[in-house]
Amino acid sequence: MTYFKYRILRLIPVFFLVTFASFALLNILPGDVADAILGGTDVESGDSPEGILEARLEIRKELGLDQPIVVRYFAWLANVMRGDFGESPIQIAPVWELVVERLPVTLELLILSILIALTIAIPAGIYSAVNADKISDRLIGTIAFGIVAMPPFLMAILFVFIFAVTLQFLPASGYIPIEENLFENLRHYILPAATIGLLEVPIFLRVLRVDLIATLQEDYIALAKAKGLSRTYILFNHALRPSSFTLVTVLGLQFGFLISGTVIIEEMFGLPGMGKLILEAIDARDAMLLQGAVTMIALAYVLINLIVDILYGYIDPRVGQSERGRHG
Amino acid sequence: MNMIQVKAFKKLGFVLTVIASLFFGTGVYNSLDAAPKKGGILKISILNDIGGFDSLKVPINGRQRVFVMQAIHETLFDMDPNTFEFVPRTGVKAEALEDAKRWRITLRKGVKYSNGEEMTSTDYKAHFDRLLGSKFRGRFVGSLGPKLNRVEAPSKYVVDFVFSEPSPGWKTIMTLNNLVWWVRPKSYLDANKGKKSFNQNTVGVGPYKLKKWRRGSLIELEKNPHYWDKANQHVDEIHFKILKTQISRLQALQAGQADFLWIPPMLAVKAKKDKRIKLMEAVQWYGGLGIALNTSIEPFNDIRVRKALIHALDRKKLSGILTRVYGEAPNSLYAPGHPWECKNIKGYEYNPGKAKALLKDYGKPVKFVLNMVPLRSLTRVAEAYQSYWKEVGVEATIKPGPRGPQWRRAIMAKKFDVWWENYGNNADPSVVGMIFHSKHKANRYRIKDGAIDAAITKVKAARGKEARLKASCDFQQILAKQARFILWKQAKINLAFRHHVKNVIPSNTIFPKYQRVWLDK
Repeated sequence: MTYFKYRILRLIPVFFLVTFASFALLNILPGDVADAILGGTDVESGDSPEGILEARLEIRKELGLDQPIVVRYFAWLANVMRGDFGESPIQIAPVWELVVERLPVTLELLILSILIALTIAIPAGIYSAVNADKISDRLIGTIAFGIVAMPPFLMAILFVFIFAVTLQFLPASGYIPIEENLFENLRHYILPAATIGLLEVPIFLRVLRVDLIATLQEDYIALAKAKGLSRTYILFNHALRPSSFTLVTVLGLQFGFLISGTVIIEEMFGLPGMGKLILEAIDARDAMLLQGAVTMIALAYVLINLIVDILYGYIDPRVGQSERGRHG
Repeated sequence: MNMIQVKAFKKLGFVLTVIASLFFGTGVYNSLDAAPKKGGILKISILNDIGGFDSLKVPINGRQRVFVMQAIHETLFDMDPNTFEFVPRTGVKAEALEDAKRWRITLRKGVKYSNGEEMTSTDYKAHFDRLLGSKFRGRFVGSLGPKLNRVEAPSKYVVDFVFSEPSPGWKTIMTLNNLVWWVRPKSYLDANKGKKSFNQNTVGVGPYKLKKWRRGSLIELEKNPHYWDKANQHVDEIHFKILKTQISRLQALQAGQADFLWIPPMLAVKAKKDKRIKLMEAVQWYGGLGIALNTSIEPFNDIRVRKALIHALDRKKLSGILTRVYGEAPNSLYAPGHPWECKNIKGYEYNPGKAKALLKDYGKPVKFVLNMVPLRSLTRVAEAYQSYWKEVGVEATIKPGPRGPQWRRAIMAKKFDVWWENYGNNADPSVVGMIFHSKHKANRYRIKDGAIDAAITKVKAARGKEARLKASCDFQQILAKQARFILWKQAKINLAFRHHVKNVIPSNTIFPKYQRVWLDK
């Protein structure tokens, strides 16, 4: 329990650092949310420069943007401590509501992507390791590098062109909530999840392959072989688990990274997820919304790493014991 | 078969083709579509979410927002896109009083909002009082052309719009479905404007009402059960899917997940190759795109330099190559086919020799920074201009950005001396180019020219279609002669739709009237 307390305590400095950094960075960018509220000013609209500047000043005052950045940050922090994430002046809705709306979209996308990636990467990684340096291993490696080299947007366009535009059996874009229609929800997720999933395959595959090759050269594997255990049994019961250590680490890191790193895919497939929300917030200089989203991502990131740590303990019980030893 | 018979067959073939095209349409417009069919869901893809339904919370007349709102609200009048005749909608009569300083509108009786309330003049008064009393007053008034002072409600079905100066084009302005016209019942405003949810929903007198809004993803509209013009209410629902990338929107159309799109010209070139898609091009009620100059400073205060900059450019060739839209280079703010088009505006032709001579005569080096909207397609145009100018000895540096609203603010704040400009709404001469007047507050070109001021005064004073057209064209000719801008191209609207989408109306505005289509599936 102390171990988990220690992990959660680590969240506090992470939270301060991340939220203040994003607050400060958004302030460095030219313009602010008042510009976005005023939006396009048509040349013929008759908006006079004086009029627009007056309206801008009024909006800035209303939103407290005339205050120094530190004052604004601590005001925001004080509200967050009370559970109030504020309201987005652009989306005209509570930030918490917006984040809660969008987070499940991204989480579902990531879970499905990772599932697709693991479904391909684990068998391919095992096959590559077992047949290390043979033609089939090299072929898998070449394909993997080919996939890594492909930009996500290009893969997305290609998938949509093949499966939606030409064959027309999968939707090109859009989102149906899971509670509305499970089947349609999954149909709409196949292409975006496959795009992200395929791009993750080479990473997982290579990591698993390297670890598995090393494990297969361990003495205890030789002993198991000497005992006459079957190759499949040794592979799945003695070699795979210890070889998954790096894979799980990378999995956690990738999952955390992808929470906000799916912007292009969300944009291209019209998924209203976190990436898209963050981009909208940055575009509109909506500090309130960005802070809420960043906080949520920081929390999710720490949570995922906590899960990874727990998994370490399962994969290798020595990890948990040593951590417990260090932290009481 | 002898030659005479061959010729006879060819003639017959030609006649049959003409007859067939008259019966079955030319494929340009669907005006000869069979009787309308009812039902179905029209799927449209838009680029951005709408932000909300309250014009004071979201004081933006964004194109994507109007796409949605124009189906919920309806204008007092409409304009026939072919004849340019006014068509009464929720207003039945418009009278210009006091030399067009007061417009009296008679409302159609029995028009109901989607919540069942009847539309009356009180609603118009309450709506405009709210807009004109807000901090965005300048913007709302500005988008209505000559200054609107107040709105009065002399009787239940009569609304008076009162202006501080004559507004001869008011009837046209009333046909524009934009944020100032999204009127709601007074009782609805009174009961809801203080609520947090006020921006999340709305009621209107248009053919559709809000069914569902999934922020950032989807907006669903369904039939307004109280709509007054049921004969023009065809599809059951309209679904707007929000897709932020243009290529995804086109792919959605190709895959059959969207029925109807507004698309930019470059995407229209791609769409043209797909047999599943029909295309329509229409005149956009928006002035030209091009380069604006601060003509109060050197070297642009010298007409020789301004003329030389235009003479140096082969605008026609560049337009054809870079946009694949071939045609004459524009010299006025009205596109061909526009009801206020001026047919013979003379500009300055491509003549690098003349450009060099003018610059030599000017005698000083010409160097400037061209501030650009950071869009790749426009930057390419600017780069081409840059190379043409270099040929005649002009040194132009391209500076992209800032992005988004900051770009607009920089223009408004007169930060630039040379910049990429979009010349805005050109629905009626009473709004076109008025900011070129030396006393106009938004005159960012810093023009102080007696001839231009006099031309604008004449445009304002002219009455009757012919006189107004003449005054407007004279004004356009002065602008072209003085080389006050370097126009790149005229704005056009490209509509792309599947073959089962019928009654696509070539809208006059940038907003296709998709709420009028029916589906023939």
